[in-house]
Amino acid sequence: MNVSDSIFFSPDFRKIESRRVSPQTESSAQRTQQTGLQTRSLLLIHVGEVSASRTAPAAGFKSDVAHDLETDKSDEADKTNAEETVDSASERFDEPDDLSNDYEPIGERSDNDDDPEEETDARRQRKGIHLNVLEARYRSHFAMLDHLVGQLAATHDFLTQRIQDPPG
Amino acid sequence: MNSLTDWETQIKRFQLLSTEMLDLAHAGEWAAVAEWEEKRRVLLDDLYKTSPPAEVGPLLKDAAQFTLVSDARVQELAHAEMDKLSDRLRTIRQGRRALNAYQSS
Repeated sequence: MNVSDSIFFSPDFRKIESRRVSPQTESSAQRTQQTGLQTRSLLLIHVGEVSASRTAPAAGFKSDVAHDLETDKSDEADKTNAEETVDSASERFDEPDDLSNDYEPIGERSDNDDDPEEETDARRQRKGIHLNVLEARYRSHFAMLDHLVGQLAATHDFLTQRIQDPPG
Repeated sequence: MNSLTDWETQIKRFQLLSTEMLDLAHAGEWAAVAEWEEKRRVLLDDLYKTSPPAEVGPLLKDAAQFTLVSDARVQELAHAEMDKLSDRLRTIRQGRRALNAYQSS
């Protein structure tokens, strides 16, 4: 069926439209031929470019296949670039203390990790030191208060005696 | 202390120190209370070193009685603080015993 036939015998474009199999694999020129919706002058321009468009599409009239091919190529290029970017980034920013690029799946801890028992012992030691410091502080405060109470008692005795037996 | 005014000033200072000591004790400023007590003790020795003039006798007696009452309250607060410290020290000893028992097990 040529374009002029499709226009003449199939005025209902909705029926023709349903014959499209796969928009991904059809070129825009083929689709135009099947649907007959485009004018002949436009079709002529496309038909002449279909074969060339697969490798070198004209500006402004890229076919779907050409677009797909280009997309595949660019996707592969993007993928390769992305992998390179991730690799270089992980190398570039992998400082000794930077853990952002490190990962450690569960169950794959190495044997070089700190012993949890040693860590617990260290924590107990810190706790013991803290208790010693607190105890020393409380004892010092207690001794100061004890001395103060003794002084107050002495003052109390002194004043009591002076009140009962005033000088002069 | 030569003049009557000197006596009165020193007696008022003595009473003021006693008042401030009670305020500091309420605030938990025990180091300051001890410092004020040292100052007051020096002042008391000075006040009772010689016989005061008869005109300031009642004023000194009132200040002494005020101090006895005030100091009684300060001593109560000091004993309460000491009891609190004793509880804390007991808790620390218990904690250390628990820590030692855990380490030796």
